Amino acid sequence: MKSLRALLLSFCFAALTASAHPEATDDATAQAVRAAVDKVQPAVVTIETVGGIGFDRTNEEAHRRIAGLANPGEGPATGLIVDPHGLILTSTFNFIRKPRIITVTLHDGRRYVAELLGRDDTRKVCLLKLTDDSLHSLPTADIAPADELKIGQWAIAMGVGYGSDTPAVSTGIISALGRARGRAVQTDANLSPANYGGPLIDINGRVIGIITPLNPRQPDAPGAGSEWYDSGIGFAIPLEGLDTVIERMAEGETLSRGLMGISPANSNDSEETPGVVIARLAAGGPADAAGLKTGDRITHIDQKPVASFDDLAKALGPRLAGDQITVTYVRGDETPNSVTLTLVASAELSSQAADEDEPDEDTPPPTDPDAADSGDESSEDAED
Amino acid sequence: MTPATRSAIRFCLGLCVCLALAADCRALSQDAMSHVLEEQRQRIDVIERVYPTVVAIYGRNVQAGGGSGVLIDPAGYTVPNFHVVAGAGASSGWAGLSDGKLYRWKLIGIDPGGDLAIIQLTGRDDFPYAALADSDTVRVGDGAMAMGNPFALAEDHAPTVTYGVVSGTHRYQGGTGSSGNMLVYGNCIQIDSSINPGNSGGPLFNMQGRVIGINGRGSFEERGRVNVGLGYAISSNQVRRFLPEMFATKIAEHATLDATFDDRADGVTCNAIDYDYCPLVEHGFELGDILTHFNGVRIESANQFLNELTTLPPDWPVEVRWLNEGRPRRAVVKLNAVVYDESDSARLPGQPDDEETDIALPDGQPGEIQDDDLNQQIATLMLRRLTETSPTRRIRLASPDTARLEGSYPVHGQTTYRIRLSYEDAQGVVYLSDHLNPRLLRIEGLDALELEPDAPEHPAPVDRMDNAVLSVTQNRCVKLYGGAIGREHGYASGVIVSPDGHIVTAQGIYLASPRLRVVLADGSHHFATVLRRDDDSQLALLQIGAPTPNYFDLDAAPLASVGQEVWAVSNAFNVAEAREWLSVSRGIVSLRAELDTRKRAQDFNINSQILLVDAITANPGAPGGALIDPSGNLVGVIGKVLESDTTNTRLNYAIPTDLVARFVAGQPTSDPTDTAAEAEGPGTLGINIFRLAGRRSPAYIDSVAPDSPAAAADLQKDDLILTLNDEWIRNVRDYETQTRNVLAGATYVITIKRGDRVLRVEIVAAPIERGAP
Repeated sequence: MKSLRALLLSFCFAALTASAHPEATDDATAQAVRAAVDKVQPAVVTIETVGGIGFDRTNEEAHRRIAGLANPGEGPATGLIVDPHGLILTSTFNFIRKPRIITVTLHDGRRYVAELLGRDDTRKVCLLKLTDDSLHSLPTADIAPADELKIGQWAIAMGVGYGSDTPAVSTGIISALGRARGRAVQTDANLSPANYGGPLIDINGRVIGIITPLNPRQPDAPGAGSEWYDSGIGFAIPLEGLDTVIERMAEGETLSRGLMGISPANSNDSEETPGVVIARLAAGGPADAAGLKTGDRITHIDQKPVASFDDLAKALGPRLAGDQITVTYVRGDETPNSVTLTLVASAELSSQAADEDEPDEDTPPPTDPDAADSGDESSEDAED
Repeated sequence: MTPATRSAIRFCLGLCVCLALAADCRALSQDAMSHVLEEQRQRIDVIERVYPTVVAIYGRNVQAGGGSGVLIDPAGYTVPNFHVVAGAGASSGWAGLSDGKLYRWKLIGIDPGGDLAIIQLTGRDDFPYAALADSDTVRVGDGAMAMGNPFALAEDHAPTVTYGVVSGTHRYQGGTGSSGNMLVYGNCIQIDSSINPGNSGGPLFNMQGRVIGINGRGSFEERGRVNVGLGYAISSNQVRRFLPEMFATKIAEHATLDATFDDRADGVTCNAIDYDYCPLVEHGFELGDILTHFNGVRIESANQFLNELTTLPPDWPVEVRWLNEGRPRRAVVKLNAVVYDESDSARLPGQPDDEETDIALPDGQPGEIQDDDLNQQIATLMLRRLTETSPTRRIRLASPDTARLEGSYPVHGQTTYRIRLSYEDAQGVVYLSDHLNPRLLRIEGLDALELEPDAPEHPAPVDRMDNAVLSVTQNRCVKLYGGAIGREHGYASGVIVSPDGHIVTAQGIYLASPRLRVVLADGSHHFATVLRRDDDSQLALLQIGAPTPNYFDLDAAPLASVGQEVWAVSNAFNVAEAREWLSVSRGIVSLRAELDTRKRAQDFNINSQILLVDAITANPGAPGGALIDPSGNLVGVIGKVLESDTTNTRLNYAIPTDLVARFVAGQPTSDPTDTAAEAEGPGTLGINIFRLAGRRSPAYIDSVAPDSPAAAADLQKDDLILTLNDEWIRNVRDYETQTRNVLAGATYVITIKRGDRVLRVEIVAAPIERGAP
C-alpha cells in the first residue's frame, strides 16, 4: 500500500507539472496591470456604426478641416459605461463621419442600438444612450480621485479599436496634469484610434479619464491630435468633475468654448500695469453688448485677478459657451467697473475679431515650436 | 480496493485539487501589489524632486513656443541645446519654470558643433538645480525619464515627463549644416522615452534623479516630426567636457582629423583625406589605410572613431595608430579646429552684449597664458575685457582677489571645477576642467579649499535590464543589408534559429538583392541565401555559410500573455553598425489576435495570429527583430511594417514564436479556412438588399424571397444587416463581398437592427434551384 500511495503521489505531481504551459516570466507589474484591466473591462463597450460621410483624399475641404489622421479608420470604437441605465461616454473622434446608425456591444456580448445625445467639443467627448429602456444595472467602473493623480504614476490605456473581443492594453505614466487649459491629463502610453473613447486607468483599476485626441493649438479641428498617435503624447479627460458636462450632454447640448468676443493686446511684460488691454471688440459680441470698449483694461474675471494675457487665457480657457462671467475693468482714469456677460460659441461672433487665444487667421499657427533635427538620412518632410 | 488505497487515492486527489488551485492563484498577492505600489511611489518621488529644475525656454515671444533646458547651478546656469537658443534668434529671452513664473535668460556660451549652449536665468540666486551623473555608468535597458516642453504643451511652463529605457549607448548621429559638422551627436545616448519637437535641450534623468543626458534629436520618417521610439541625448560627460570651454571662450570648438573612414571587411578604412590640413599626411598616412587606435582607444567601427573625435577640442594632441599596407604605423599629432561654414554661421545667435556679463574685466593685454609651467602644472591666467569683435572671443582670467572652489564634478579621475572669483568691484563664476586643456590644471591658492559634499542618494526603483540576458540576445540577432528601391529600405534585422546559420526575418525588398549580407554580433560579414518564404506570415528563412552557435531555441518559447513585459531588439533606422548593439526598447504585450492588415494601398492579409505590443516596432529596419521576455526567451519575430485597416495607423506587432517554429519546420502557419461541413454546391439566403442608394450605403433588406431561409427566420424589409458571421457589414459592398460564395447547407449567423432593437438569427443556406433567377 505504501508503494501504491507513493506511486499515486508521484503520478499526481508529474501530471500537474506536465500540464502547466511554459509560462513566460511573469512579474508583479504585469499581474497588477492585468488585474486592473480585468476590473474595468466589464464597463468597456464596443461601438460600431453604419453610414455617414465617406472620406476620400480628393475632398480637400473636409481633409483640411479634420486635421490629424488624414483618413480616420472605419473600425469599431471604444466607449465607457458611466451610468447603470445605459449612458456611455466616448470620443467625438469616433463620430467625425456623423454615422446614422450606432450600435453598442457590451462586454458580455449583448448588442444594443444607441443614440448620440450631446457632445463637448472642448473636451472632444460625447454621450451615447442605449435605446433599450429596460437596462438599469449595467456595470460601471470606479473613478480615480483627481487630487490623488501624480505625475509618474502608471497609466494604462484600454481599447477595442482593432476589433478584438478583449481590449488591447498599453502602458505608460501620467506625464502632466492640467493640460489644455485644465481639461486634460497627459500620458505617454500609446494612444491611438485603437483606444480613443476608452478608459485610461490607474494600477488599482480606477478610471483616470476618457482617452481622446487633443491638440491644444487647434481646439476646433475635430481630429486634431490624432496625428500624435503612438508618439508618447496623449490625453485623457478626467471623469471626476464631469458631472455637469454629462448632464448638459444628456440634455442634447453641444458644448463649445465660451468666448467674450475681444482681441487682447498681447504682452508678457509684467513691468507694465497688470491687466489685459482690449485691442479689438467683435461687433455684437458679449463684451461689446456689455458696454466694454477698446482700450479698457481687464483686471479681474470673477473676482480673480488677471495680470497678463496668460492669466486671461487660463481664466477663460475652461469656460463653455453659455457660461456667465463677471468682468472687472478700468477705463482710463475712472474707478474700476464690473459687468456680467454670457459667453458664446465662436460661430456666433462676427468674423472681424480674432479669437481670444488663437492667432489671427493670417498668421499661421506655430506648428514646429522647436526643431529636433532628424538623425536619419531617410527622413522626409512632414506630412500635413 | 482496500480502505487504505481508497484513502490514498482521496488524499492524492485532494492534493491535486489543492495544488491546482494554488497554481491558479497566481493572481496578485498582497505582497506583490504593495511592491508594485512602492516602486510607483519611488518613481513619483524622484520626479517631484527634480521637476523644479526643468526649464521651458522661449525666445522673446512666449506664445511662439521654444525648447527646454535644465538648471545645473543655483546662480541660474542652464544647459539647453545650441539649436534651441539659435531658434530663439536672440541672445536673450524668457524661461518658464514649474512654479509658473517666467524669468529672463541671457546667453553665456555655445557649442554649435556639439549642439550645446549655456544660458543664465536671472532674478534669483537660489534656483533649484540638478546634479549631473557619470554617463559612462549608463547601460542599455536602464530606466530613463525625459522632461521638457514638447509641442509647447506647457501653458503653465510645467514640463512633460516621459518614461522609457536607454536603447543604446555610445551611439553616433551625424551632423547637419553644409559640411555636416554642426549638431553632431557623438557618444550619445539613444532612448525610447518619448521625445518630440520642443523636448530639445531638456534633461534625460536616470531613476536616481541625476542628469545623464540632454535630449535633442530623434529619428523621424514618413510621419514627420513625431516620435517613433528613437530619441538621442548628448551624454552628461560630453556636457562636462565642453562646459568650461563654453564659459571661457563663448564659442566652444571641436576637433577634426581632416580624414574620414568607413567600415569595410578589412577594418575601419580611410576613404577621404584633406591633404592640405590632415596632420597625418606628413607621417605617411594614405587613402585605404586602416585605423586601429585613436587617442589610446582600440577602434572597431567608423562610428566609434567619430564618437571619440567628438569629445576632443582642437589643439589636442592624440596618438594615432594605423596599418599601411599591413605595416603598423604610429604618430602623435595635434588636431585642427572644425570650421563652420559661412552660411551656417548665420545660424549662430548674436553675441551677448558686454554690459550683460557679470564678470568685471580689468584692462590688460590680450595674450598667452602667463607663467605657463607644464611641468608643475600651474598656470596663472590673464583676464581680459572683451573689446574685439572677432568671431572667437576669448576670456582670460586675471589673478582674482579671492578664488573659491564651489563645486566639482569628478569623472574617472578627471574633474571639472566650479570656481567663484572675486575682484574689488565684481565677482563671477568660471568652470575649469583638467580634462579639457592640459594647461589649465589648477589655480594658485586653491589647495586648501574644501569641496562641496555630493548630494545624498535617495531610494529609487531598481530599473535596469539584465545585461547578461541582453548580451546573449544580441549574439542571437543579426543586421541584414540588401537592395533598396525608392522609399523601401534596404536594411532589416534577423534572428538566428539554428546552429547551422539559419536566420528568420520578415519579407521585404532587401531580399531581392543578389548580395544579401548578414552582419553577426561579432561584426563579421556573410552572404546569405533565401531558402524559403511564407505568404501568410510574410516571414523568410535565410542561411549563411558559417556556424552560428548562438541561436534562439524556438521550441522552448513560452506563450505570451497580455500585459507581460517584452523587449524589442532590432536595428531600427540602421542606427547600429558593425559590432554595435541593436537598439533595445521596452513595452508590454497589448493583444494577441488575428487581424486584417493592409500594406498601404494594396490589400494584403496576414493570415495568422499576431502579437500586438506597445513598443514601437513599425519602423524601417526593425522587421525581423527579436521580441523577447525578460528571461531572454523569444516571444516573437517583429513583422514587416503594416497599417491596420480599422485604425489607419501603423501596427506594432510580432509573429508569435509558435508560428515561427511551424514556418521553420516547413508547416503552414495559418489554419485552413473553415469550409462548410456539408457543402452541397452554391446556395442562397433569400435576402435582396436595397441597392438603389449605391454600394456605399448601409445594407438594408429590400425584400425577402418567399419560402427562403431568410423568410423562415422572419427577416423583414427595412431590417439593417449589421454582421454576417461576425464580420461587420458597413455597407452594401461589404455584404456582397461576404455573400459572394454562399454554400448550400452552411450556417450563417446574422445580426440585424430592426427599429431600436438588435436581433440575432441563424439561417442555413438553401440550394439554388435550377432555373431560378
